[in-house]
Amino acid sequence: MQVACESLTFTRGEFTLSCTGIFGPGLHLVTGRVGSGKTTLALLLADLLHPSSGRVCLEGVERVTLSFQNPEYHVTGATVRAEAASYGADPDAVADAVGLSGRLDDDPFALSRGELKRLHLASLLSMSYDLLVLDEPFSSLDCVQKHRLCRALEERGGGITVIFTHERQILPAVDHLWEVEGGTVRDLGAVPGAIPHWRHAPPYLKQALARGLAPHNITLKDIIEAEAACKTHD
Amino acid sequence: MIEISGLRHQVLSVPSLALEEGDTAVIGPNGSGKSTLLSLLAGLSLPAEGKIMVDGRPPRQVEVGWVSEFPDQSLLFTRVYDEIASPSRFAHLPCAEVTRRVEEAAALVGIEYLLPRTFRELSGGERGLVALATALSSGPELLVLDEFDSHLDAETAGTVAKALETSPCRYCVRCTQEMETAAGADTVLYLAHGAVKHAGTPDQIFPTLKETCFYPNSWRMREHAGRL
Amino acid sequence: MQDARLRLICTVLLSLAAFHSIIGAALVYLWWLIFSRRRASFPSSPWTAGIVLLTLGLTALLTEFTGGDGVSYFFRLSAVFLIAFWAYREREPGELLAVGTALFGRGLGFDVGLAGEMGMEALASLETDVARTRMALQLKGKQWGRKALVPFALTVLHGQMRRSTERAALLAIRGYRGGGSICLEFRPDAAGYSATFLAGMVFIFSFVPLGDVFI
Repeated sequence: MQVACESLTFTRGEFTLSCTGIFGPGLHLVTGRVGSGKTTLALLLADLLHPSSGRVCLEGVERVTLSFQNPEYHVTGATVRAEAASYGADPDAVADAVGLSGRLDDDPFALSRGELKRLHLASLLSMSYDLLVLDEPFSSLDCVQKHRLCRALEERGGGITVIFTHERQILPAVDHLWEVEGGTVRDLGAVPGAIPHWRHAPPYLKQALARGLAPHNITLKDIIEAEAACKTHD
Repeated sequence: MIEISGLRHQVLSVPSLALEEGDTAVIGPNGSGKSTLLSLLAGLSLPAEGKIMVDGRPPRQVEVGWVSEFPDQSLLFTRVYDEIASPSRFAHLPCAEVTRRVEEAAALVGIEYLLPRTFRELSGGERGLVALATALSSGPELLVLDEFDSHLDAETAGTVAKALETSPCRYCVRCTQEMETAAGADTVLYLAHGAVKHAGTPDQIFPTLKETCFYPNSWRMREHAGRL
Repeated sequence: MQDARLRLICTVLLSLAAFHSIIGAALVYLWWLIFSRRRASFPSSPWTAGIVLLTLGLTALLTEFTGGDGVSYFFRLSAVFLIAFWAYREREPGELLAVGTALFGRGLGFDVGLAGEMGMEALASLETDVARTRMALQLKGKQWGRKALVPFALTVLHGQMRRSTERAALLAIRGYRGGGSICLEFRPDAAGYSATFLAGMVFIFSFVPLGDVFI
């Protein structure tokens, strides 16, 4: 199972995005400045945009979905119940998980943006997809919800998950790192080997690297563990 | 001084609160009333009960700058220049003064090069900077930023921090999910369930939040390094 | 044409001329051949031009068969749309504010221009909303059709309502109380003046028989 970008380019006006690389099973994290073309790449991977040249080749990937930064775009149901069901999810289970059990018959647009984002993500994550593309999944969530989302993403069995984000505090443990810069998508490789080359690393990780630590992954927990390991070694 | 007394509005209830001049960071979980508090401070809505005074005046009589959570999606014009000029034009200022203010605000945020452009050519981060320059162009006494940093990348956030440091604004109230930003403020307010649970300096507030994820990563790392 | 005021005058004169008479429409086609950018003065999407032509054609056919003068209708209205497309493609961002204020002053004129500018911005955001909402429907495996139309329209409407609330807040916070000052900067050029002069001639010839003018 893989998604291969073969000499992929997309041009709009003076902006061109190019990508060559393979997204295999596991959790991929793509970072880059706001406006660097992250959303464009996300749309290309999910076949929602047609490339200007090259192609996105899906192998063994059938069920594909994408989550927009703005959860409003996804709403099709008139009630929270209908909205969860529209993803094929079990409304009661989803509402229970995100603390909206009492609001199953409310209009989804009556929810706050944070609540709507939680409902959308929980509905999406309760289903199984071969390719799950998430554009800024952490936006509009507080740190409690961000941690929950990280756990849910880490626990997702099988499939390819690609996260596009500029979040720099709370991140899940990932398998592969990518960067978008100056219109080019760079494959940094598998974690932990890729970590030292990661220019958009969050501040806590940069500090740890500067102190000579070699964390196994990119979360704060990994750094604290690396530090402990380093001290016991001494 | 910003003084709040007997305030009740939607989920929010603040019996009494005083904010000194300087930067105030408002933190707390989703739905705790942060945005509500900010829109009241900015004078966008009037409190159902109680009052807010900024140096003895209600917010609507104070020059306020405001940037929303999605600055890149809430623009009035298609050209950067028109957007930054709008507060001055609305105030019927003479041409030369409008130009001066636009140029001054753009220089403060470091976006002079964006002035002749249209929004279509701008990245999300650049749009955020334009929104900030517009808010600063009228020389506000009070600047209100509603989670505006949540869509900025690290580089752009750095530019913003510098611009805010040099701005002559007396009060800056911002709500943020970035605890590192909050740790750099003069005052921190922690809101939960519509109430101000803690108010004080970062050194006073964050120790009470040590068991939660609202504790800054850098503090946690520092302490961890110290303990080992 | 860079001067928005001259362009507006041309648009009004030529549209009236084309609509009024066959001679006027014929002269408008000539004017268009001289002053337009040809292909670049058509809508960027061939769909828009296609739909307009189709609607015009059908109405003309219907008029012809019900005893009206469909051919003349088609000829005149096509010229009107040609000018409309030209004016739309020639426009520059931000000029509505200046044109409004130049024509009707710093009070009403500024407000009219502001409404126009905000309308243009709203149109651009609507385009994004529509595209994203369609993609989201597609992701849920919903067919694009009659059944999807209601939730689709609701989502787009909701997005626009949220934006208009935010726009209202922005106007209030930026101290908008009606009217405003603007420094007018128009760049009239020789080509603009000659185009406007000829548009004026076209207008006159459309209303006054040629013979009357030259005798």
